[in-house]
Amino acid sequence: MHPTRRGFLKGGALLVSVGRASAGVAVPPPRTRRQGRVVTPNGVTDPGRMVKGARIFHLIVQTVTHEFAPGLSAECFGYNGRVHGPTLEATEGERVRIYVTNRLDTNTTVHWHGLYVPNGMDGVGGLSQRPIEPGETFLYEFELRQHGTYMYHSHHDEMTQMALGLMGMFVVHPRGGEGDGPARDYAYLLSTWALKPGLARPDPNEMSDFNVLTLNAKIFPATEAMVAKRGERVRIRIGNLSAMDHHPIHLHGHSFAVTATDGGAIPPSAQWREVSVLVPVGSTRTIEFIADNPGDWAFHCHMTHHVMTQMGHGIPNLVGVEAGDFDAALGRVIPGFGAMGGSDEEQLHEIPPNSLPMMGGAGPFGYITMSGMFSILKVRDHLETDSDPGWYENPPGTVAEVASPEQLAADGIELPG
Amino acid sequence: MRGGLASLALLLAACAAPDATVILNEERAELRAIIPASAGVELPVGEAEEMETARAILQTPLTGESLRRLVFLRNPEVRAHLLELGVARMALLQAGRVVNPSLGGSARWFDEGPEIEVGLAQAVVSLFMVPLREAESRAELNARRAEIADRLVRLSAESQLAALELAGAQRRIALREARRDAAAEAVQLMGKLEKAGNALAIDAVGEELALSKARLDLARAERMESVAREAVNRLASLWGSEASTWTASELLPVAPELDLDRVESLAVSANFELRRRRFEAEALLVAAGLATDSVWSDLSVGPAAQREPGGEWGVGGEFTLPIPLLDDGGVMALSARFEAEARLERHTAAAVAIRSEARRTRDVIEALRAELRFLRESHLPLQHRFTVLTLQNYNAMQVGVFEVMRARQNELAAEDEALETELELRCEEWRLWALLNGVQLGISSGHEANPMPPRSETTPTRKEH
Repeated sequence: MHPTRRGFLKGGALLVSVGRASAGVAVPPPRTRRQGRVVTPNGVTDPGRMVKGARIFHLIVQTVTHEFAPGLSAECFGYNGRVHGPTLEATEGERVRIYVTNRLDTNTTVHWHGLYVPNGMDGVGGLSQRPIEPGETFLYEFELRQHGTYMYHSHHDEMTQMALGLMGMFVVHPRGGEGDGPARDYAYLLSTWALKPGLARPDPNEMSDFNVLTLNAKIFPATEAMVAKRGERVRIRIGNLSAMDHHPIHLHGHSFAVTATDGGAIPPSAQWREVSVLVPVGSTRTIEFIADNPGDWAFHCHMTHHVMTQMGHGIPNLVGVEAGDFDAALGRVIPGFGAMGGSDEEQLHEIPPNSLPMMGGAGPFGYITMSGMFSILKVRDHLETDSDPGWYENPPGTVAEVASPEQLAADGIELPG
Repeated sequence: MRGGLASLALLLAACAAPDATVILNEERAELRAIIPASAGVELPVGEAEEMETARAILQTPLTGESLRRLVFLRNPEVRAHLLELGVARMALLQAGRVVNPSLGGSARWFDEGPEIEVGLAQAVVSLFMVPLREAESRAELNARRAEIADRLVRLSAESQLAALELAGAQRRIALREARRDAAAEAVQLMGKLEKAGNALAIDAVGEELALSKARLDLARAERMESVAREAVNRLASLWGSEASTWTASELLPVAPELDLDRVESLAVSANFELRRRRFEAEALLVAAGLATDSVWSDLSVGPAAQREPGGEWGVGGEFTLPIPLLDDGGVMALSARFEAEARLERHTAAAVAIRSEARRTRDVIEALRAELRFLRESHLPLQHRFTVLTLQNYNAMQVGVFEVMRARQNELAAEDEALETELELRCEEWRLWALLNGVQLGISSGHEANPMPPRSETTPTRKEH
């Protein structure tokens, strides 16, 4: 049973824990096939193709109907039919030629965020180039003189075009490879959207009240899980191109080292360990860890409103207020409210079209009251494929349960009357 | 000789006292003849079963139609109007009667014996002026009939309007009770929020203010119902326990289908006020002729006898002849003519006013019909849709419960507005109905105070919102 949005704020009655055997286990979404060395959950990684010694990419800028999660879609801007654009993957020292075709009805450019490029390739409309007009194809060509995690995004009317989704990740592997590179290499792009329930298009004019917060343009439960085999080294690259928000990204069950920023790799001696890494707007952070703790581990932004979806902020605080009164009051005031049947009455219980409950989805122990920037890292002792292995089977005695009177008594716990 | 006797017999018969019942029945018939059947005027005859019918009507919720019937059964004004017609009718009869002859005489005593003079005088001119006086009185009787017809039709229309006001007042109360209830729920909820420490006192006071306003609006609606109820009591002549035990339907009385194409001509041709003015002017014109002839009114002739003191009797005649040397009657005649002509001018002015009122009412009705249609087909559904969508957004936690309450209150306010528009429309339709049946409401009949001004002058309804 999905909770109503209103039910949530009435006091957490929804956090009903049920036995795993009887719980409605959610079917995990299919994983995106791994391309290249970097996996972009819910997205694609594009290694390009080599032509006469140069790596060739082609980005087509166009409008895209993007689904943030089943039930919530919007008319956005994207690259190659996707929001966000593909993670471009190349190697240090390569020459890249990136063709950009503008299929929008407005001008655009592409800025290669963090990369050392000739000034005329920097993609700032009006400053470093003239904008790419509708129908035109521009060529960006430069040599990759560094390695690390970078981003690309529109730099023409960027407030609007980035608010509508024109961005992607750009990963440059070190020349000669990494001898002890990670077994798993994931890339995430964080972004924020203003999309009120019932609307069809994100509002680029919004400055503070972003209500759809995404990992690779998806919200939980539509976010694909990361997987790792116990003992594997895992790297997660996180870029933030939100409009106004930094994001402290927290991983459960592990600590990690912050190994790089978009300024470059951090020498091992200078790396530091964290369980949350703050990813400021316009920056990337790369973390690495050994996945040595089997289980299903939450991976999310720790700003609590960033793990909600389409949350309204002008509503009364109902916590501590007698539950049920509000619906009963509306029933007394609005004829038909609370009655069953009839299209009009049904509407009274609906939420607007193209909107989602503000909290997530089904989990192994009940409803997971998280949405937005939330995903899961699944660490297993055995992993046959890269596909989602389903929910973790906890060893007996390792799941928190109701304490028995004997347990309480043995530890001298007396419950207050 | 035989013919003379027959004439005398007829003259004496005409001079006999008339029968009141016959006279009133005849006047009922006259009224029925001039009042259109569509006007809903019923003239009671005072029978016991009529009171029984009135009691039965009071047992069921009053509608416009049942109140109209009740009013004609119970309102003493109806019978008073009939009796006033009786007065005018008697004036006509009186005008047809000849002035009684005068017997005069004198006696004086002399030594030779008494001298006696005896004479019988009959005002001769008065005899010839009977037709004129009758014509004047007949015109005045017709004027009174038009006046009474006006009052009766007015009573019929006032009954419908009183039922309309009352039904509207009841509906208004129901709507405002719902608004008050919504505001009261909001106060309760905000109170709980405040008690839980989640709302400020200013928020609570804000909701209480809204409730306070809703209560005031309801109190006004209740006051208007009380006034409307008392109007029904007055019209139906109800008092004591009867005045407080009856109930009324919430159905708004709707006027019969109206022909909006020919309102001017229909209103003028049916109007009793114009009819009354016409007859009054006619009576004045006749009175002008009477004034001219009045200088001769002292002319009398008759036989006379005289006994001389010596005992000799002489028989002859005598007459009195006024000489119009100093007063030829012209002043009175001209005065009457001036008044008659003034009446005719006012008749024309009244006709212009009636035509104007007919056009005004028709235009207002057409505008109100369009407004009501718009309210029902567009505005109210939109307002309802807004409530539903607000509720959906409440379900989606985009808005709070108070926004939903507010949306519902606004929806109720829109229904309130639609009700006031419909009341105004129905009122104007009844006003036009009355106009097409001979009565311009808001214009007094005769010397009465304005009994039913336009609704907008009495009911501060739409402006309140």
